[in-house]
Parts: sequence; C-alpha cells; structure tokens
Amino acid sequence: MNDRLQSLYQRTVLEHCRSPRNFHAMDKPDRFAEGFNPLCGDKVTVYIRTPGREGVSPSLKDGTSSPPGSIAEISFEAAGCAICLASASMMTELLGGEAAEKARQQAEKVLEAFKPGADNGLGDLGEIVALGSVRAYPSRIRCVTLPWRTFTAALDDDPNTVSTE
Amino acid sequence: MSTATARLAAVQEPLSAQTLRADFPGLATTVHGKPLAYLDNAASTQRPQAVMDALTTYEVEMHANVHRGVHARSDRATAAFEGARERARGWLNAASADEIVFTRGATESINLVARCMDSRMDGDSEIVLTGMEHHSNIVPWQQLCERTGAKIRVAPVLDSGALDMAALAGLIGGRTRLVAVTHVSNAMGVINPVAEICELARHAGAPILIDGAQAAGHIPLDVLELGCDFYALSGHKMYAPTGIGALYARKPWLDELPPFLGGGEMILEVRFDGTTYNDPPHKFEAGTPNISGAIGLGAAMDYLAGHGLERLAALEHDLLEHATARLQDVPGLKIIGTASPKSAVVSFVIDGIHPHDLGTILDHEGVAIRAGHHCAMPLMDRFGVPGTARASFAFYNTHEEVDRLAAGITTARKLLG
Repeated sequence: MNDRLQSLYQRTVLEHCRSPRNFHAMDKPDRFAEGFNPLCGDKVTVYIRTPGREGVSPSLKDGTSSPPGSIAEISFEAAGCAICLASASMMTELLGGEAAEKARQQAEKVLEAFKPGADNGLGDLGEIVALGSVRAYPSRIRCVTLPWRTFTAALDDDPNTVSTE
Repeated sequence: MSTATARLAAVQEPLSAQTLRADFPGLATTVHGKPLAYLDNAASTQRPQAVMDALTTYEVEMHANVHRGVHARSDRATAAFEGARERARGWLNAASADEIVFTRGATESINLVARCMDSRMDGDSEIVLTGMEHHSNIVPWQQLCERTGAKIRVAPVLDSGALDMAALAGLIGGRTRLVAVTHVSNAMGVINPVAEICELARHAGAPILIDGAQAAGHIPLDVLELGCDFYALSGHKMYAPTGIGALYARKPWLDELPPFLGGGEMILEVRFDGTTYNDPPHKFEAGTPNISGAIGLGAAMDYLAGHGLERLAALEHDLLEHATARLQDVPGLKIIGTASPKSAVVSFVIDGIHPHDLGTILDHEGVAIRAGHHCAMPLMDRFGVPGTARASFAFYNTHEEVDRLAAGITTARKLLG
C-alpha cells in the first residue's frame, strides 16, 4: 500500500477512530456547540462542563483545583469520517482538564497549523501530530479542523452552528 | 461495397470503450502514479478532442462578439453560435431554435424560470417537487416561495429509490402552479417516469420543468413527445465545457415571462422613458454570451450524435450491470437506489467506512469517485445517511476500471475495517 496513505491512516489515527475517547452526549453540559461540514455532511457536537456551574469539578492537569472556566469535562458526538473522529477524540484527551484559556490557545494553535500552506510543528500537541499528514490533502483539512472550531464555539457559547465554509 | 454502404458499416460496427477512450486525452493520465479511472462522470464528464478542437477553431478563426458586428469574424462567430443553438434544438427535438436559451448551466436554467414566475404565484399556490431533487431544483423554488407566499409540496421517495408516483399524483392538483422534477437522480441514478409526470401536470393544467442535468448526455430526448414546458441541461455533464447550459422553454412561455436579467442583447430599443425587449430567446440572454461554450456544447452534441446516443447508452448500461454485480458482493456494502430503470450511477454506503475515507483511499488507487451528500441533503436524510460514495460511469469507462473500484474497496476495508 502507498506510504502516504499509510501515513494518513496511521495506527494512532485508526485506534482513535475505532475507539473514540469521550464519545458520548453530556447530560446538562454547561456549554455546547454544533459543527457542520456542508461539503460532506459531517456533523460534530462538542460538550463541555466548566466548574462554577452545575456539575462536578475535578482538579486540573497541573494538580491545582479547577477555577471557573476550566474544562472539567469534555465529550463529543459525531457523524464523520475517520480523520474527523480521530481529531475529535484526540482533542478531548488534550483539552480535558485544561484551564479554559490554555485550551483555547491550544485549539487556536491546531487551527493555525492546519491553515492552507502551514507547516508549523504540532510537537507539543500530543497525538495531534499523527494527523499532520492530512495537510497534504487540502480537501480533507476541514475533517481535522471541524471539531476544534466547534470546541472554540462552545467555549464562546456561540449558538450558531459552526460551518467549515 | 459502395461508399455509402461502407460508411454505414463503419457506423454500425460495435463501439468499444477502448476505441472511444482515444478521443479523450484527459483519460490517458495518471493519479498518484496509477492510471486514472475516472468514475465521477455524474459530477462532470471529460471532454473529447473534438470539443477542444472546436474551441480552438473558434478562438483562432472567429472569436468576436456576436449579433452586433459588421465584420466577417463577427458574422462567423454569430453563425457558429446560432448553429450551436440549432444543434441544441435538434438534441431536444424542440419545435424551434427560438425555444433554446443559453445559460451557464442547469442551475441557471432553473433559476431563470423561478425568477420569472413571481406574478403567477400567491399564498394559495403550490409548487410540487420530489424528495430526490438536487439542491439546484429546491433552493430557487424556496426563494420563489419566500417572495410570493407559495408553498412547496414534496413527493416522497420509496425505499428502492423510486419516486412514489401514487403520492405524486395525489399532490398535483388544482393549487399546483408548477411541477419541477429531475429526469435522473444525480445521487442514485434512478430514472423518473417523466412522460407520465408530464401527463399528470398537463391534466392539472400546471406547467412542468424537468431538470435534465443528469439525463441529457445519456438518454435520447424529445421534449415534444414528453410535453414538458421547460427542460434544463448542463454542458459539462455531457462532454462540453463548464459554464454553458441551456433551457428549453415552450415558445408561449418565453413570450409571456418577463426578462431574467437586463442589459445588452436582450433589448431592441432603450430610452430613459422605457425599453423595448428583444424577442425570445435573446430576451433572456442579457450581455455577451458564453460564445465558445455554446460552440463547445454543439460540438459535444455532434460527437455524441456521431456515435449514436443509444449505442453509447448501451455501453453505459453494461457498465452499470457489471458494477452492480461486483459491488453487491462486497460484504457490508449497501447500494442506495436499486429501482429500475437506472442511469449508470452506483451510490453506496459501507458499514464502518465513511465515504470520505473511501474516496481518499480510492484516489490513491487512481480511482476518482464522489463522496458526500451530492447536493441532495433531503435525499440523504431520507435514507438516514450523511452521505454516500458514488461511482458514475460514462461510455469510455471499462470493466477493468469497475474491477479496480471493487479492489480499492477491498483495500479500504483492510485498512479501516
């Protein structure tokens, strides 16, 4: 099989696709947003629970207690391709437990890294690096970015459906 | 053997995809190091050399503006442009070339009709569509409804992908001011019984528009026999360039409807206290038209007619049967749209494999298909899928290409399954 294809659908990506993490609806989320890719019909819903509102408030990744606005819990639902599912699954692992502002910065960094022509590193963004090969497929970049754009909309409490277009 | 007999014998020789492929330089290319298997013909067909030659000849020998020059090149361009209109008349068997309006494509053709229908609609009016329409045969009617208060009624699609004709017959009635239906479903390939639907519309006294984007390059057409009021087609789906299409409209409609766009060409006389419009079809063709596109469309029609559309269609039907048989054997694969008759389109979903991933994997095998909702979201909702993978064939495709599609699906199942 073609090396580029192997790289696109590498083991980490397929593993997330087959067993997506935090792949469920959230009962009474503090914030959520819906994302839609009109080109292919893929849909993503991202749910987040933030302390200071209703629900549990586990401690943050760095051991401190969770201040208002931290991502205490994150989950998603999606009807999407392998790339979109893997991206969303990796996103929930990376951002869960982060302070909200740091989570936003990381999401923006990912979105920046997947802009057309971008080749900046994904090194400190965990398993997202496994999706780097998608940058060679312009028609598939939206599959990666849709969950992240939906996450930032959830953070902003944006009631409008996020569109990739 | 006389010359005439020899010519006849040559014409009647069985056609083969291998011979026809030589006419399409675009097919002899590679993708990711593999020979191209172009199975996305419902999205856009490749162009034969004859069409490219016609465009070059036009550019070199006659390009000038049409209908208004007093010089030789303009006369030649006008003759070629109007010649293309006559080809389109013949293709559709319209009564007069004046009933052919050149547009940018089927989408613009439908919009032209929808934009000119306001005065015929009110809050009691109904526009009857079907559940398998392309967005281009939905949105212009929704916009017309927004402007006028008219309502859209939708005839459902059966599990087989066939139109529910009993339900359609029940929807077309005294309030119906227009029926708009696709000839061939772009997402499934299912061919609708348009003659029967025209009869229903006629019985109710409602005009009918047929979206022929997927039909015009594959099915012999006769608008007089059909009895439709409007027929829309796109050039690039029938081996002609993009940006050109046509609207057939029966002459009384073109006389009655107001102009679509204002500008040059569509007028006889302009004064600040009033303008006299040109006669149809020019009344609907404001501005300098897509001259080369129209000439390319005419050349594509000549190419298809030269081989005989029925004979080309027979090749496509053979491909459909082969592809259906091959894909039916794939475990977990479900074909969306199994009704008969069908155009050479196979739309399908596979358990556990998203159409987008399949499309990318097939692309690496050199196989080009379409993955997505095919601009038919209501139909996707009807079947409960976000999208499908769609292989659509033209006469230049081969059994070997179908087999490569099947092999590529096996590769995808290994990788993602």
